[in-house]
Amino acid sequence: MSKQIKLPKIRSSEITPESIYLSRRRFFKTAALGAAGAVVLAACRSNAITLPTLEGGSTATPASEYSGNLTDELGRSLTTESDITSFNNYYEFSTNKNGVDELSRNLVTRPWQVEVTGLVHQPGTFDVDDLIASFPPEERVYRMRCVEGWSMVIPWQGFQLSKLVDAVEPMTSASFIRFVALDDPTQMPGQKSSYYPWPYEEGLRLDEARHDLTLLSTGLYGKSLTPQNGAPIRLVVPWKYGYKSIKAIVRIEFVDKQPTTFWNTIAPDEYGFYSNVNPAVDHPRWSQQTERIIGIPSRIATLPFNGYSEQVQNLYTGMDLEVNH
Amino acid sequence: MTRFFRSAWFMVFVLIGCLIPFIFLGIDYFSGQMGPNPAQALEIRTGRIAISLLTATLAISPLARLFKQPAILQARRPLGLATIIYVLLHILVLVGFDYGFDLPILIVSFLDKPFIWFGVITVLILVGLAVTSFDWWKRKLGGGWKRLHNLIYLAAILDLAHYFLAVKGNLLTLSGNIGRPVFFGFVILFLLAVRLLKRIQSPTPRS
Repeated sequence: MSKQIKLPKIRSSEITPESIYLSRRRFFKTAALGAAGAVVLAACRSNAITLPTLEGGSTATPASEYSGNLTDELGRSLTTESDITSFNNYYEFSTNKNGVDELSRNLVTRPWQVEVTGLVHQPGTFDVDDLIASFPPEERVYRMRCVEGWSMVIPWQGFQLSKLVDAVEPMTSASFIRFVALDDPTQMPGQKSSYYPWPYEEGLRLDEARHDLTLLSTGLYGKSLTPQNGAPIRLVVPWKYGYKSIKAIVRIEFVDKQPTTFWNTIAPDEYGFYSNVNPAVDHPRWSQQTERIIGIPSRIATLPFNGYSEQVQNLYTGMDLEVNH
Repeated sequence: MTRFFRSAWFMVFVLIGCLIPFIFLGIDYFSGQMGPNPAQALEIRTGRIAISLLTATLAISPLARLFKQPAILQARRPLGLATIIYVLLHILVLVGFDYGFDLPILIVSFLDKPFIWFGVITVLILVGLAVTSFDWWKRKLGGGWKRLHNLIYLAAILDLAHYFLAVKGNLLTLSGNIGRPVFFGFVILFLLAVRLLKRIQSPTPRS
């Protein structure tokens, strides 16, 4: 368990040769150790790191494919793949949620680097495919509650953010994480609007980022994320309003102060840093007491923490959730 | 041109203009163009149509003066009535389609929301103006009718407030999704300024 994790860092030169070199080396090393065939295969695809859970014949089955789940743990039906991929709140492309699909079609999502920086002992710039190959893939069926009062149930694939956090070894001074999304007005026409503080930024407290529910997603319904859903890599924090789950991440920065966030900068009264789903705290426009599940005709009551109270409420013990909304 | 504005064709043209947004709503709704959340899409669309028609209604008398075509004024009443019809559709979508006429939920959801109250007052004014828009009321109210119907400017300003508060953004810092409300704000304030200027130039109000 205590095995040291090393992520492949990208040097500006020789990106591909180095990864080939690493993957070969990993292959021979693993083969020489006489590990199980499955592990060898996994390692073949991986030009990255060896994780304790993937070694020694762990019984954990990687769920990089859609498991066929039809409901979440509350029995709510999954939103259809076509609805998830055609109704997207993604202001980088358009304020029209039905138009993001078309406008984002040509977003270049490979090669894609994610810079992990700030107060960590192992900073670096990582290729997204190396990240995907480095951490145990999982499926998580999560409810996604938008602050506008609609919701979906989505089968995400990805890996727990905590795995990456642990791997880069945060310093004791790190208490928040800032996430920054792609800033490229040539590819993202919505960023030409000067009404918004581009690039999109979000933040989590370190303990929220380390929570088991917090996911870095790279796929849904067993397919790689589409651009409109945040390809190639996005955050999913299911107990918070959807805008916290930043898409198209290019930078993950460990900081010691609460970071500024995109919507909080625009309207601080309306979008707090925490933004936990909370039917008791109304938005000035939208009641947060009910929601419309996409694809289902009637509204239902919104649950505190979006139904994840049991798992996450201890993160906020003693906090006034109305003040810290 | 004068003949066109005086002919029945002009009114047919105006009525078709008022109907076109409704036809497109129908086409988009039934062809699935509204996407997976048609309630929200319809709320946004009907609201935009309503404020566009309200702005068009306000633009009629300046246009009539600009082109020296008093016959254009005939378009004002149908445009005003079309505005209130789309406003009522906007409300019906929210109350019926989105909230299933669930009154208790609607009350807890909207009672304390300022943007709704700006909208509600706008609607009350527009309904009052629609009801008194007919010739019978015009005769009965005499000079008061004109003053009463100047309330449309108040309705337009309240509607702007409703719109600014209904979008994700912040007017004070000019940030967020406020492009459209800013556009309508400029047009409506311009039309209001034109009217005030005219009043300063000719203190006795002409009809």
